[in-house]
Formats: sequence, C-alpha cells, structure tokens
Amino acid sequence: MIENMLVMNKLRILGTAFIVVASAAIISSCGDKRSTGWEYARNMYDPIAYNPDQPNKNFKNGQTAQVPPAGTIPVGFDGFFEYPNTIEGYEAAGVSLTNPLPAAPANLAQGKVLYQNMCSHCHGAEGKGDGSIIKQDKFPPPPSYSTGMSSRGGAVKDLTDGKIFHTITYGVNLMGPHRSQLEPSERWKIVMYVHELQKLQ
Amino acid sequence: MRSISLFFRSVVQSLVIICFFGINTLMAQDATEGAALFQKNCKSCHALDRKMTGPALKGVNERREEAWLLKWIKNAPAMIASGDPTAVQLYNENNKMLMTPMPMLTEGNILSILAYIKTEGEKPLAAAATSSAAGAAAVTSSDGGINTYMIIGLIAVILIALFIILALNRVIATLEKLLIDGPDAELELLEVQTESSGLSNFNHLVKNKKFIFFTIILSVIFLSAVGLKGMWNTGVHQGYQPVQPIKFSHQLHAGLNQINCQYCHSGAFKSKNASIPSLNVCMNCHNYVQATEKYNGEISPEIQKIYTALDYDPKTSQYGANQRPVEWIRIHNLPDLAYFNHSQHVSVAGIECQKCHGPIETMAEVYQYSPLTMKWCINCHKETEVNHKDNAYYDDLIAAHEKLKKGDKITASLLGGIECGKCHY
Repeated sequence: MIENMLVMNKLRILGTAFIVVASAAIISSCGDKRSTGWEYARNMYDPIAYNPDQPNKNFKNGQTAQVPPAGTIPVGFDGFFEYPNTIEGYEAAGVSLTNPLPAAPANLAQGKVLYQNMCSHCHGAEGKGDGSIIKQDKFPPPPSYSTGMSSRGGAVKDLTDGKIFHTITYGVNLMGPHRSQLEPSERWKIVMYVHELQKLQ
Repeated sequence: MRSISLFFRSVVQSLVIICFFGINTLMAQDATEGAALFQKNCKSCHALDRKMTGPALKGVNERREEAWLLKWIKNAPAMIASGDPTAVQLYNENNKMLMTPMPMLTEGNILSILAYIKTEGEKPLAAAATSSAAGAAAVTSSDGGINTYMIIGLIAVILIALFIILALNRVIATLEKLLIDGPDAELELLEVQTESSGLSNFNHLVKNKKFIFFTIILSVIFLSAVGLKGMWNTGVHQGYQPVQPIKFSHQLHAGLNQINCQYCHSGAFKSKNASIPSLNVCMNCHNYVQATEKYNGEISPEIQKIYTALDYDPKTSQYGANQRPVEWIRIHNLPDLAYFNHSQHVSVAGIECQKCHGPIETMAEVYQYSPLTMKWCINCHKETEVNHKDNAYYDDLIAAHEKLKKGDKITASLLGGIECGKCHY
C-alpha cells in the first residue's frame, strides 16, 4: 500500500512542484514598468519644500519655478549685456565689446569643450558648418567660420568678439538664442575658441 | 537633287536632335551646378516650399524678373539702401532681416541657381517621404539584474530539493519493498485498486505526512521568495519607465543626431540638478525641424505638442500669451533625505552620464537604469579612484596634505572652514 501511494504521490508532488515554480516565475516577472512599484514611507521621497519642477498652487501660473523679477542679479553674475537684439545692437556690440577673459590656455581649453558640447552638432567640429545634424540633412547648414559670409555683412572670419557674443546670446536667422543654456563667462570662452576656428583654412 | 535634299534633311534633323539634347544636358548641368551652389550659399536661410529666415523660393522665376534677381542676389542690402520699392517691401515683409550679399557669385552661378530652383520647383510634391528608418529600437528592459538572478537561484534550489526528495522516495520505496515483502502485500494491492476513487485519494494524500511536509516546505520557500523580492524592491524604482507627455526619443536626439547631453541638460555640468530643458531649448532646432516628411506634410504630432505648449503658430512664427510648461514625469527620484549633486560628479569627477543613466543614447523611451540605492552609491564610492591631478577642486586638499607632510600646522579655514555654507545652511 505504501509503495503504491508513493507512486501516486510522486505525480502529485511533481505537479505541485511544477505549479509552485511556475507561479513563482510568473509573479516575479509581472513587475509593472509603468509604476514605481511598492513604496514604503513615500513622504521620505517628497520634499517638504517644493521642488523646482513641481506644480504649485501658491502661484498664479501653477508652477514652482518662477521667472525672477526684472532686474534681479544672480549670485556670481559676471557682467551686464546692454546691447539689444537689433542690427544696431549687434553693430554696437561688435565695436565696443571685447572679451573680458584673459586669453589663457585654460580658458581656451574650456571653450573648446563647451564648443564641442554646445555648438558642434550644427557648426561642425571645425566650424565649417558640417555638424552631425547637417550631415544627415536634418537642418540647413550654417555658414562656415573660415570661408562663409555673414548675413549681417562681411565674412564670418572677420567677426569680432562682440558680434560673436551677441550672436550666441540672441541667435540669428535659424540659430536660436543660447543665453539660457550658457552663462556669459561660458559664452566668452566659446568666443575665444571660435576665433581659433575662424583662422582655419 | 533628291538625294541632296534628303541628305540636307537628315543633316538638319540630326542637328536639331543634337541641339535639343545639347540644350537639355546644358540645362541639367546648370541645375546640378545650381544645386551645389544652392546648398552652399542659400540653404541656410531659404527653402523651396516653406518660409524660413527668407521667403520660399518656389516660383521665384515667375515672380521676379531675371535682371532684378541677378542684382538682388549679388547685393541685396545695397538695393534696399538704394530704395528699390520691391526690395524695401521684401525687407519689411521678412522681419527686416538683411539678405547676405553674394559678391563671389558670378552671373553664370546665379543663373544656374535659378535654373535649379526652376527645375526643383516644377517637380511634383509627393516625391518626399523617404526613409523613416530611425524607428523605435527594441528597448532592452533591465528589470532589476540582482532580483532576476535571485529568482533563478531560488527556482534552481526548489528543483534540486524536489530531485533529492524524489530520489529519497525511491530509496525508501525499495527498502520497504524488501522489508515488507509478504503475502499481505498482494492483498492490500487489490484493496487499494478497488477503493481508488477521487475522495479516497485525497484522504490518503492528507494523511501522508511526507506529502504535507513537502507542501509546507515548498510554500515557505515560495512565500519567502516573493516576500524577499517585494521587500528588496520596496522603494527601488529601477526599470521605472513612465509614459511621458511627449514621446521624446533619446535614441534619436542623443544617439542618431549626436547632440551632446549638455546641450539640453546644461545644468548637469554646473549645478545640483541636471535640469529638464525648457521649451526654448527645443525651439532652437524645432523652429525648423517639423518632421513633416514622415507625416504626409503635416507637422509631427509630437512636435506640435511643443508648439501647443508654447502657444506658437508655425505659420507666422509668433508666440502667443497662453504658454504652459510640459508636465514631464520625473523618473529618477532620490528620497529627500539624500543629497546628490550632478556637477560634483560630472564636472569634478568627470563621470560619463552613461555610468549612472545607462545606454541613454539607445533609449527610445527612458527608464531608470540604476537602482539608486545607498548600497549602489557606496559601492561606487569605494571603488572609484579620485583623480586630483589638474583638478582645481582638490587643490586645497592637496595643499593641506603638503603642509602636514612638511610638519606645518594647518587651520580650519584651509579646509574650507570659513565657507558661508558651513554655518549658514
């Protein structure tokens, strides 16, 4: 009798084991990637103060991140830029604005890195207007630094400090303004490196 | 006579044919030369069928006289200054943007550009819509490496246990067969066979201690596996991949287009937050890029979401007043009790974004690659060597150690003891 029961039990044991293993596999694999999963003490994740990217009903537009009041100067702000986004402002900047940073190798090296990260996908590694997006024909080519003509007069290779700075700040034609992405000092470092690229042949 | 006239006729015919083909190839040459010149000199500001910085050029050959165009393309600003009525009108219509003077183009160059515009403008519009190759590459989901291994291990353990029990069963069975090999065995065999209905089977099972024991063991293993996995993953958002309001693909932007991470996440290099780019950064490219070729000439619905959020009219290039931010869903979220600073890791330590965020340039939809647990942070901090050479951040630290080596005394201020944040936090 025992022997027989064992024979029958073996089937059941196998069956149970199979079900257990299968359900373990199923349950472990059904984690939902659209949810964060189980959380314990969610309030430890949520800050007491508002995060900049959080909605906020205390402000009229419902955002936590507010535009600073006009005339606010951020900590470490390195200089005013009082030239307006007009052709006159551009010309004026070209005449009277010069790079306040010393032409040190460290600044130039940082300018190169910034140029590669912020400009080269359009203007190309050597400023010839052949960046990765241009090569794929997804964006019209900008004029070459060394051989192109500026739409605001003259050759691009003759553009001065102030004109390049004005262009990065406000953009021109299809190029958008980059002042929200680059601090003035970073723009000046890029200007320094652009001058190097203008000299290329 | 007749043969002579025939001869002349054939000569004239062939001449006509030669001339015809000649002109045709000449025109084609003009157009190909024009295409190259257009690419180099005009394309920055002009498209054929849409207004960009300058007006759309399709049909310009009919709109303006050739002599006027020649003069205009050579030196547009001079023409505006001279007070030519058409030139002044154009200048005012296009936001008072001056057209780049092109003194280096010869008359022939300009004519071939015009030939290119003419032939290109006469082509039917449907020719577009070519490759939509990019596509959504299969995103390899990384549903928690450790935990998958853990589960596989557990399953293996269960299987091994099962195998051992089965083997033991067999041994016991053989032993019993040898010990209780008497006349009763056959009788009982018969008895069992007659009684074997479903209910009696179940009763036998419930009475079987070995079976009960095995079931309990299995359920304990199973429940502890599930429980351990649940507890292990509580508060760990690894693999989290929420549906974002815009189907932005890092695979396309960072991978295929090779736009540097810093271009959009400019904060990562200089502040605590990597920062989600504001929409003006999107518009630096998407004022032009509308992916119309993939949507039968319509603006891509995903790019349209940027325009809607900005209340931007792509036809007039004007922004409205009713602007609202895109409500992106945050994926990487450290608890508020932990402080993390991007610039410290990216700028000071020089760590690649991919070290923590995984192969972001292959993700069509972003998921959380790393567990962001304390153990994960600490393991990396234990292993990573500090590169203090030419690294201004560590200058003070190195200076302090040099002083100590020399036997000098150092002050708290040398170790940053008079930084504002030490007291006023």
